[in-house]
Amino acid sequence: MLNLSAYHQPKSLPEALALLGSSGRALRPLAGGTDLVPALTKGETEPLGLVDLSRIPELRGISRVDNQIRIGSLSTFGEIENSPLLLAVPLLREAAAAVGSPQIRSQGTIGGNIANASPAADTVTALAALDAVARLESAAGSRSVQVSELLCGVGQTKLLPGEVIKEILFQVPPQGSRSGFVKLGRRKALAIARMNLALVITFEAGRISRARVALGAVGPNPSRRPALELVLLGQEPSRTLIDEFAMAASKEVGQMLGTRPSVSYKREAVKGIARDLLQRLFFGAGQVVG
Amino acid sequence: MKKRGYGIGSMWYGIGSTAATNPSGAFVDFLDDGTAIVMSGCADIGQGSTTVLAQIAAETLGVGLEDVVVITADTGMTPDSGPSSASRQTYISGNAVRLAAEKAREQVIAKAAEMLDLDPGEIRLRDGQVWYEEEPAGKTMIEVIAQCRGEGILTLGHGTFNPATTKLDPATGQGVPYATYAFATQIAEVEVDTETGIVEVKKIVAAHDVGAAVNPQNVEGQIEGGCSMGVGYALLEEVVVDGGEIKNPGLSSYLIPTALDMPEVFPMIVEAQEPSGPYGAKGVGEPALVPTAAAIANAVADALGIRLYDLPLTPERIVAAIKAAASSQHE
Repeated sequence: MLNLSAYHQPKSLPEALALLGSSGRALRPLAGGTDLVPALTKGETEPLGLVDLSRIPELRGISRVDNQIRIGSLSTFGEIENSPLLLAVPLLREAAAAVGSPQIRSQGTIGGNIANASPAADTVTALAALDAVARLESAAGSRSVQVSELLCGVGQTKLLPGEVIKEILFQVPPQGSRSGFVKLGRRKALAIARMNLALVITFEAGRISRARVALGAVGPNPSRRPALELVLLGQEPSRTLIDEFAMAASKEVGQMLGTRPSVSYKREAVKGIARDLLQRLFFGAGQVVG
Repeated sequence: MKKRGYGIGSMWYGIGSTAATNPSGAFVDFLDDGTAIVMSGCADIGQGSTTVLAQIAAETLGVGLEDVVVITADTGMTPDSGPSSASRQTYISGNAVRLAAEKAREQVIAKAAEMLDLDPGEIRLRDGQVWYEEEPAGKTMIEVIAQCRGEGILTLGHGTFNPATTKLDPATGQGVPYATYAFATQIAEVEVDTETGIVEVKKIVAAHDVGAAVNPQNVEGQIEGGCSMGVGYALLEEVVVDGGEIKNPGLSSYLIPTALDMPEVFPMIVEAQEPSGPYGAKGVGEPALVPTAAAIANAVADALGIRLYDLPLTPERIVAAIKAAASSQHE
């Protein structure tokens, strides 16, 4: 049962920050509520009250200035999935589209996805590959932190008391880039990622001049995997390269998971999702069916 | 690597249990405006039985479907029709409604025969008219029912259907356990990713002998719904018990297929008339689910050349089976 003694719905960011700043951690910020409300009803978290951020205009909206994209933290997965401003970053649109179901995507937000710090957060894997930065605001001031730096364990962030994520910022990948996201779930909708993979590959004169590879649900938080980026750098797209990447991803996942029970399956499965995504990015088509 | 395979599953399934009594009752009240009220205890749980009972009554009484009101599953006013289970309602309660409607019809026909001075055995009711041989005989049903009411005759009928109880041999359990049987064959096409272990069902063709399809669209819906349960049974659904505690007690952890997990299903309705069924009908509720998992498991065996014996065919089981087969080949 929900047992709250306070519920605030501020209309501006300074008002929200003042409420949160004066409460320590007694008040929790509420975004879309798709993670927080179930946790509250199950009694997994017991704040004194909530500060509902949904009526704060400063936290909404998606915009682009030159090559920088800004996404308000209260933007829903549905807004991200369908935003024409994000056509240049298919990996983020695909990650947003992979979340839950249409109802959850209409309600859940990208800021909430980060702050909830789930190992399987779909958009966080894409944001890691984009080297995205989160701008944090509190009554004391603002600071910017890399999204992947902000996360420090399952359900753990470096957000300070009274601090909220205002917006997410990243650069559009350079000309000649292709990107994508793939999710391994137990079914095609309403399933938590058992593993996800985001890639940004930039081609120059037929060779890969820049690569960003991020893996999610392998370890505590999604993260970039430099060892896998090196496999791609300087190479020409080919079936051999896909094989090499799949083998390297398998090794990487094996090292990341160590002796966890999921290792034997995930080490194998990552090869399949890596092939799916690279095949699409290299040749624009799915895997050949034998 | 992705591999494709095809598999077949076939089944037969008893309809109308005769091992114990299996009765259903119905009332039909044929009213003086030419409409009818059907009362049946049959609970429509979404499968469409109320529509089917209305169709059976309308067909028997010679009125339009829009002229039949069906009151169901109210223990305060409807007769016992037994449970909506065992794929029995079209067959059992459909027969009860048919018999009740025939009783109501008999009274109208008897009065029409008297009014027109014709042999009642040659009179039919159709499209709101009284028919003799192949032509309208010059009286409407409304006129005949009004005449009945004028004479104090209520055109009511009741019917019960209970397939002859055979009882099974208490020592051997043998006997004739069902009044009739439904038959079906389904074919599944799958694509298996040998690395992720994910089985994607690409297509299901499902041919079902339903005796007669009282409502073909309903039957197709039943077949498609059954196939979706079968996909869940084959690939997803598993109650995980640890120390006596169910670890996945909700639909967020006990997963069933979503619309996105379902392939296109091609239902094929086979109509081999069942003489004891209402207008030849049998049942399709459970049969639609029975062969699906077998067809999918056979398709996976066809794709991989490896046979798995445990359901559901989870990605972990598929990957483990592929690894085990590869290592036994090396030995």
